[in-house]
Amino acid sequence: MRILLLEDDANTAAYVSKGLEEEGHAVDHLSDGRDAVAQAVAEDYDVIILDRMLPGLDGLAIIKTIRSAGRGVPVLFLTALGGVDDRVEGLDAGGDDYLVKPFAFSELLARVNALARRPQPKGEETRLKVGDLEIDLVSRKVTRSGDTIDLQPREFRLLEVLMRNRGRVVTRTMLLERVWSFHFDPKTSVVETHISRLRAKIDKPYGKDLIHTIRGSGYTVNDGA
Amino acid sequence: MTVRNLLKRTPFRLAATFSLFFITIVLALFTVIYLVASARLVSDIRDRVRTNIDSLAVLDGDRTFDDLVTVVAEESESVRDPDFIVELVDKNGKFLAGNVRGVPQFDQWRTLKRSELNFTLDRGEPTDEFLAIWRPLAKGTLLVGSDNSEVRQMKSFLLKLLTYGLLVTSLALVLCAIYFARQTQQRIDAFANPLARVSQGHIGARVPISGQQDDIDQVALQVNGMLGNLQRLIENVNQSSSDIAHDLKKPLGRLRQRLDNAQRKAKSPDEFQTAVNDALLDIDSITETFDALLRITQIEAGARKDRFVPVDLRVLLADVHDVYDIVAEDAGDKLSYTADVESTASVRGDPELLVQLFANLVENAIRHCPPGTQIGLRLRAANGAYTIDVSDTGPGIPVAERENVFRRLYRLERARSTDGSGLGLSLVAAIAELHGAKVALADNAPGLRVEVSFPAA
Repeated sequence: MRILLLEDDANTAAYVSKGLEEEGHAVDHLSDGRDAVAQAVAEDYDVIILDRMLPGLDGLAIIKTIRSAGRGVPVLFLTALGGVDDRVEGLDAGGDDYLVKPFAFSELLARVNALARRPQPKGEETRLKVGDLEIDLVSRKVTRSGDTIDLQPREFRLLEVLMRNRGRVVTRTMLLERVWSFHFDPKTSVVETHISRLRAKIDKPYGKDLIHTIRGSGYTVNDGA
Repeated sequence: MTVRNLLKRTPFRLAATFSLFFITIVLALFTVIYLVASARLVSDIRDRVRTNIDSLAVLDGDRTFDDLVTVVAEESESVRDPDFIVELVDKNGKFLAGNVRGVPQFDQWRTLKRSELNFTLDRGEPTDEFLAIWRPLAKGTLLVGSDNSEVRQMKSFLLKLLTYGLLVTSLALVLCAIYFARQTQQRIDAFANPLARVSQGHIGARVPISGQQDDIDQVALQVNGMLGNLQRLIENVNQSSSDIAHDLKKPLGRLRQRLDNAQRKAKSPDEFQTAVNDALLDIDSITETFDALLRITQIEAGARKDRFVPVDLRVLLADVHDVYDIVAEDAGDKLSYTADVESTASVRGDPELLVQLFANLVENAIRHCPPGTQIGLRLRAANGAYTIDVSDTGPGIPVAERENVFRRLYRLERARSTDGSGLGLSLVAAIAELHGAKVALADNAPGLRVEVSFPAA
């Protein structure tokens, strides 16, 4: 897919561009805020990666300009380390996701993938299916091989996030944010523990694992076919 | 101090304005008293004159007019010290009787001076004045006048009294104003001097508290609180800069050793891979330390207060319990939650940070206590304020160490083996402080109890 990268730090830009290109994406890199707005509005990108601090124009102003030009393209913005308020400000301005520098490339990749293939707002999916596992987001019912499985609300939310991103990697940090609204790094194995509880209900009785651990990245749901 | 300078001082200006205003009011009040009292005295004299005329006019008539002449003549004779004048004339203005003669006739009340009058008998003081009126009768006209010296005496007495009163009041007012202005000025100066010292770099200087518990004391307390915060922030900055430098040298040293070892000893790609992975973990933990430090700094700066919303602690703690229940279980511990509150336990705050606060405390209990620990999360209310106890039955913290654990990057001796930045409780303290909450460490006998008390709403 086509990605626009707005980043003024040459090293970071090279690291991100190279990594994304190796994953098969086409990356346009710009470092000046004013050029970026014109480019973002003129061209059709799948994802924009935007540094919060750019020369020429502030990251927030860029998002607002792009949005006011009617562009719904997903925006992932990069914030400085520890910027407690940056996330909220960025999301308020119209950003879709954020990532704190420095980051692992796998984290960036997972988030870019999650953003880009988000279903367009033409119609919300209500039933998600992977292999013989099916969840209904409206009735909040989970079935596997025809069996109804009882999940705690939090377990359902965890499975929902994984299923919405089926076939893609969801990182530990993404799960913390989206399932528990934790915007900090817990010192205990919160994610691992809950994943293992979920597995005990979803995977264990059926012999075939659908929830997979991707070492060093996160988790994914797929039927392995 | 020149007059111009004096005028620039607020207490003096206030006192002067107030005195002037008050003196004006007193002056107006005195004027009213003077006018009302004088009018009253004059009207008393007129009443007396009228009564006198009325009693003489009884004799007015064809048959008794001669008697009237006789009575007036007798009265004029008998009066030794005449405090009244009387003159009776006939229709043609010819003098019939009286102690004065030839007084021109007039319609209204008039004040007559003795020096202007032609007395039949020369008695009394030349300065006497009479308040007199002519009354037309059937066969003549009667003049009666009464001495108004009591009015004049009373008036001059009142005038003196009021003038002295005004002088004394004004003097007292001005003295009071000067006294209070000086007092206030001194207290303002007592404010300005320490602040000047602070701006010269003596951050420890404080504004004196008079102990009168008045508004100036309130401001002084606020200013001192602010200076205290400022001092703590500055000291924190100084402390954390050196702490960070120290603390980062260790993991950086470890990281360097690891890479050095890999470079010299690693043979296979697998060994290199392992070394790189470990190095990345080291860097992540260093980054995390930085992140936590910056977060604490930003939280302490207080900007987040703008985004405070009502938070139901009961629900928030239930969520924390929900998340950590099974985490504790997997660690061999037991996490319980009790809410001793009637309904909602609403405080204003940042839900994200409050979750982090309690998550941090629960995680501390899980990580630093041996398996089998009972961890309690309890919400209680007292006098409209909420307190949350996070208790455990673990090894606790020695009394001597309880203050230290809130210091940044501080780690207990026995905790040095577990990973952690030594910033958890600093962050807890910073979040609590942002919410105006107090964090206290108590003995749970056995174990540790952390009490987070929110102020009453």
